[in-house]
Amino acid sequence: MRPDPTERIDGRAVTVWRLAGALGALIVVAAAGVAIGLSAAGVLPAFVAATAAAVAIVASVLIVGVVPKVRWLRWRYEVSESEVYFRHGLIVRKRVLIPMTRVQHVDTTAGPLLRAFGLSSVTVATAGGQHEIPALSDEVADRLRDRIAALARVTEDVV
Amino acid sequence: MWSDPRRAHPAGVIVTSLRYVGALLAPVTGWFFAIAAVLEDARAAFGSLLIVFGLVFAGVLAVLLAWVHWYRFTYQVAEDGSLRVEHGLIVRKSTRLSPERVQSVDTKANLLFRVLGLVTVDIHTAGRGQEPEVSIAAMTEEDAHQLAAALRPASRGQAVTEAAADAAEEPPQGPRWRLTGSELALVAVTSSAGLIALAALAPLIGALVSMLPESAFDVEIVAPSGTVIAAVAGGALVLLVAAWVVGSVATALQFWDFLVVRSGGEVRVEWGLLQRNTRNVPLDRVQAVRYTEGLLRQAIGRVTVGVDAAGIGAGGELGPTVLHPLLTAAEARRFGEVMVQGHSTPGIRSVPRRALRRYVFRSTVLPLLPSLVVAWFVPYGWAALVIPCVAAAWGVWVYRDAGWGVSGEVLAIRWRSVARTTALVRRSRVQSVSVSQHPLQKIAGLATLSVRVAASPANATFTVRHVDETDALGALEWVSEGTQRRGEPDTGAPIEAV
Repeated sequence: MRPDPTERIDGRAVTVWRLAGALGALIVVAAAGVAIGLSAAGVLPAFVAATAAAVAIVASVLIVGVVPKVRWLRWRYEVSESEVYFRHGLIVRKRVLIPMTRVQHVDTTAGPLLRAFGLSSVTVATAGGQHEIPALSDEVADRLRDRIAALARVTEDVV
Repeated sequence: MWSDPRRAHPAGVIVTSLRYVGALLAPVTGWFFAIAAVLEDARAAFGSLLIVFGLVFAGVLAVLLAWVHWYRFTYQVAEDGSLRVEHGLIVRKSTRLSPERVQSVDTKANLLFRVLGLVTVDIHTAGRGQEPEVSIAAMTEEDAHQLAAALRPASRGQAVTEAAADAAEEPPQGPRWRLTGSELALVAVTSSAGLIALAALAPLIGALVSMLPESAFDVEIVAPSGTVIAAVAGGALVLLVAAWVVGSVATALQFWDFLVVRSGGEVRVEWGLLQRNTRNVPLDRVQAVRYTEGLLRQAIGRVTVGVDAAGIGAGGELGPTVLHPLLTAAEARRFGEVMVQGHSTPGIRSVPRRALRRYVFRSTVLPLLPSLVVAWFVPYGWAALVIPCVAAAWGVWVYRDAGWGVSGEVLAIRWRSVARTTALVRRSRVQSVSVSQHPLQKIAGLATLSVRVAASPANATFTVRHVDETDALGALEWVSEGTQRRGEPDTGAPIEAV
């Protein structure tokens, strides 16, 4: 069986995802807070508040504590002369292979959160759709983009 | 070849102005109506005169705009062989299109154009989705032929310019299929177009029913229940038959005198009675070949053959470009080999037996819960349990049809949504391949295999669920191997001139 791709994405991705997860967790916690408040006021029965609190805790631990780390562990990519190959996925594990000759263009993009950490993501576009490698350090992303672009340029095949 | 800028035939003004009238009528008359409404109190007669004036004004404006559009729209084939289109009065737009970028050249002619010997030419590129990159209304047939020939890159055909100009006069050579009258009848009656239209209209029918006055329902409730059921069933039957008849007639008009010809490296399809269409698809633009078996056509053992190409196809009036609507399985195979060269069908391997319950689960899980609820709470509701049973049987059927296969340079993926589709993709046309597994699949050693090709987005992915894990990875490896020896671009089976 084909070995897993060799390269990992940047370790700081975990922190970025934790921060993004924390924002989500905040919303869940706020909702739970409302439920607790309402049950304290006697509008909702106590077990609703208890359930809400439990759900909020579990969800927060998952999306801040567990998911980012596992997601990072699972993300692997590899760029050879003839193909881009990556493997990722938290629950559904996915392997994707893109023949180099089919690459139409490569972009690097970075939102404010990624930029704050000096990270970028690389998007590989084919005529059939786009694929993203998230959270590489700016230098690695730039180098990867240029490398894929150079390798993809070899072909004269259109579509 | 003409290298001077040309205008389209003036008859194009008529067609364009009709289009403009459609767009202008509502807003322009709306304005005049508003003015008339304001003035109504003072002079009623003047108000209605204004409305008439508004209608006339919209008409005149449309003709004027159409004339300007026609006057400013010129096309030419430049020295370097590229098509150059200039248009626009205020914002002037100039388009240059090199032959290498052309995916297909279509023509269409409505009744008026056919009388005048004119066609509208649509040139598709990969970038524009369904919209043609360039559309030239009202070209003479001769000009259209020459343009199509000029846009055929020299690398593809023979020495193009003269040869293609000759081709305009000579009857096209090479393999050809023409739909006979009885075949057309079969295509029409096995069409599901009407039923699909009915499904689309269902909300409208529902809305109409809900608009009926309450009293309409009172009558039914008073009547003996047998009569009600008969009336409802009868009404539904009439509706179904009507939809089927309308769909059949529409399909017959569409596939009227359907003809497919291969000449050189191109396949040309012609179809339609009221509007006559042609489509030229260069074979080296074909991204995938599809064999589709709708329920009715499968019942009579017939297959529809279509091709996917970037920029044309799905979503259009014919779905993926239909190359033939009604072939037997054996004919279809030959068609893939002869007509669209290098697409011979590999043997299809079914998904493993252990995938069966997953397919059944998938089709049954949604209808199961509501049916159980109905069965429990509604008198005689147990009859609703038929639905999940049918769904389960459907799941078995979907399971039996799912499969894939590889031979030589061709990958086949077969699946059933309603119709059964077999998609053939050449290795060099694979844009990306992916293998995914959720935890339960992993335990069972199964995986989902999907392949993307460059066609219209909605149809760009071919997927087969629950294939053997090793097989799926094998398919991934097969694509990977194809990329290793890419020194020479894969030209597929050599496309010999015919």
